[in-house]
Amino acid sequence: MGHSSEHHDDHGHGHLKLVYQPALPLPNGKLCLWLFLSTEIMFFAGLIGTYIVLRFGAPAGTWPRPHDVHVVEILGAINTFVLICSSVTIVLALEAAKSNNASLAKLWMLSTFALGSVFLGIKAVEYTSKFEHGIYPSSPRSLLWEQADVYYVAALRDDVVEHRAALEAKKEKGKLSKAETDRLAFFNDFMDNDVTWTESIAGGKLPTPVLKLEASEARKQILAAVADAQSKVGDEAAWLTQVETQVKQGVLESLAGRVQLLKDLQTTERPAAAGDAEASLQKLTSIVATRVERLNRAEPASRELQMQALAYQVYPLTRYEQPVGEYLELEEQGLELWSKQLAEEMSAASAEQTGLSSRQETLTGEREGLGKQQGELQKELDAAKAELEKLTQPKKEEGDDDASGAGDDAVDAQTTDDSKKQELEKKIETLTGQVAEVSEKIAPLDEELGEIRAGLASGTVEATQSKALAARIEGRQKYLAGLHHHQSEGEEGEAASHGGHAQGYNDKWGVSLPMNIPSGNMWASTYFLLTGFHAIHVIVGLLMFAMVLPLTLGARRAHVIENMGLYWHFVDLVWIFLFPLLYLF
Amino acid sequence: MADTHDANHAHDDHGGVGKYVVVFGLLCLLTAISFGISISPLMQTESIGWSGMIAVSCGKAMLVILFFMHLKWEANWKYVLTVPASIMSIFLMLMLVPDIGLRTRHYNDPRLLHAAPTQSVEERIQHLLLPEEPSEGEAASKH
Repeated sequence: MGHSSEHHDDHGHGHLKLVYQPALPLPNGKLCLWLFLSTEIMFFAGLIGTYIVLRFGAPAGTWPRPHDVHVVEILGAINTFVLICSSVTIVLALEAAKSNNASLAKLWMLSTFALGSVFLGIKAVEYTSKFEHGIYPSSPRSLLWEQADVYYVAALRDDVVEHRAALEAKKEKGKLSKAETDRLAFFNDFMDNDVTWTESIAGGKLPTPVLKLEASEARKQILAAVADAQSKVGDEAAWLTQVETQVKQGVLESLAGRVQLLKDLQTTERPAAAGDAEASLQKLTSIVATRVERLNRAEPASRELQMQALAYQVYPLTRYEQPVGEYLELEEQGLELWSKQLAEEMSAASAEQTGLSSRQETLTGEREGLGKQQGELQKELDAAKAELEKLTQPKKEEGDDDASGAGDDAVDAQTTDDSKKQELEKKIETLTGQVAEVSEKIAPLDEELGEIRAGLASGTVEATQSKALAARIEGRQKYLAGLHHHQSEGEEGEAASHGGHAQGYNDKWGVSLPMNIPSGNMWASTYFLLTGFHAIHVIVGLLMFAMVLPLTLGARRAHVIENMGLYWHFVDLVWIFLFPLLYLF
Repeated sequence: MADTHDANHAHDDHGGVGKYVVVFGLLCLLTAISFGISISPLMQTESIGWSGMIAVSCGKAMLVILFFMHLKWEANWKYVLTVPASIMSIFLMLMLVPDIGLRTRHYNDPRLLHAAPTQSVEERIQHLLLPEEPSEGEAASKH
């Protein structure tokens, strides 16, 4: 074979026209640029691919919507348009250069440069709006919190305390302006009626108002079901009475009470019944179970929502507008119910206090009478005792006399003395008995009076606490009413000026309190990485344009424009993917 | 260089200002379609809307590559450079799916504890809305 092929080569040497091909059929510069672009494809594919995977993989509701992070679609759309235009102008520049129309080529090149600059300018505006709102990839500058949890509330408190202290210090120096006075008033209101309120509820120191509402609804339903069952089974059914009593005692308010209620429902013997009555009993059981389950789930859910509502006031996320609004409406209803219940409790307590103090008065009067009686008796007793002593003393002396000279008189006197002594002794005995009797009567009175005094004291403490709680509830109610007012006021115009983003306290008061944006940090990292690398590419492109602009862009330089154009089209290409991913998803 | 110049001239009739204007119009139209998808009912099922927008973006990318970057009229070397790069980039994206894309499906408890809540605010509020009438059906659906 080798031989034959050699032969063949020899044979064709003079006849075949071999074209010498040193490399691929394209200029070296273009080849290098395409090689560079293929690495760029990989680079941006890595970045964009990661973003897509993160975005698609984020569970529903855990990735910020564009408006939540001050991304404005229209700016992105304008930038897309600007880049497409610049792609057209650079191909037109290439066409002009190829037809050796240098001045036209320069004009198109200049417009490409201008369009690229416009793109960067808009980008700068967008970045600024994010930095202004504390949206940075990570701490220490970032104000983003993943969850509205107790840690978030604590961070918020720290910040509010700091802001408030600064304003207070200024106030002491008397340098507070009108705007600052307003801000201080806002911080005080916010601290007392939102941050502290939410803290108390989140920490379980106060029941959530919504739970009160649920419990009252549950109580109504269960009692109705009990009444229904009683009408069929009969009043004597102890099981029904037990459920009724427990519900009336307010076991639904506490978790332990609810657990106990369910346990009792299952373990206590149920009255035997048939037909209609049986159905009624079963319905009661299912209602209790359902309502208790609802309460058990409502408790943690409403605590979390309370914190979410707080975070919403600072920085409203569009998607939370409806649920938070619904929650606050429920809270208002709950607060109304709570304040009504509290007022009833307070009036009952004060009635009890009045009863106690009037009883105290009667008892004190009685006690005084008895004390007087006791004093009189004691006096009488003392007198009797003194007399007895008197009688005993001289008798001894007379006895001495008797020994020296005895007489009938003396004997007579002695017998009278003896009888008197006996009488006195008897009197003393009765009097002692009477005194003891009175003391015995006084002792329980004293005890009861002590109890009443303690009751009155603790009642006063309770009344103070209830009053404080009522004041807090009222403060919260006023605060919530204020929110409605601000909302209806702020709806016109303001939302539009903030790129469709509703205004929270951060915007309204020009402060930078911590914000809750789920996955906000992840979003910020990816956003700044993607747009940042893209912007760097834009800057590099602009530098290249600036370098060729002073030259004559005739046919001789068409290949340079072509290579720059390829690069610039790639920059456009990347933006084609970034626009929907960052602005529309 | 002279050689290249000739080659470019050979392709000149493929370009032309008219073609660029048509491509420009198409790109603007496709951008408008992307925007339209983002506010259309397709976004109710987000993944459908997203896929639509990505497909539109791929279309735009093809237009730019083929006409503006002139790849339509290049010789076969274009496949050597673009096809492997595209395959590798798609592969790179797919490689991220198990660890990154599905990350929340394999969270252990401590990680979940510090992640954003899985139960959305919308779901949580549902727990608090009072029903008009409790029924057996409600008790069953609760579960």
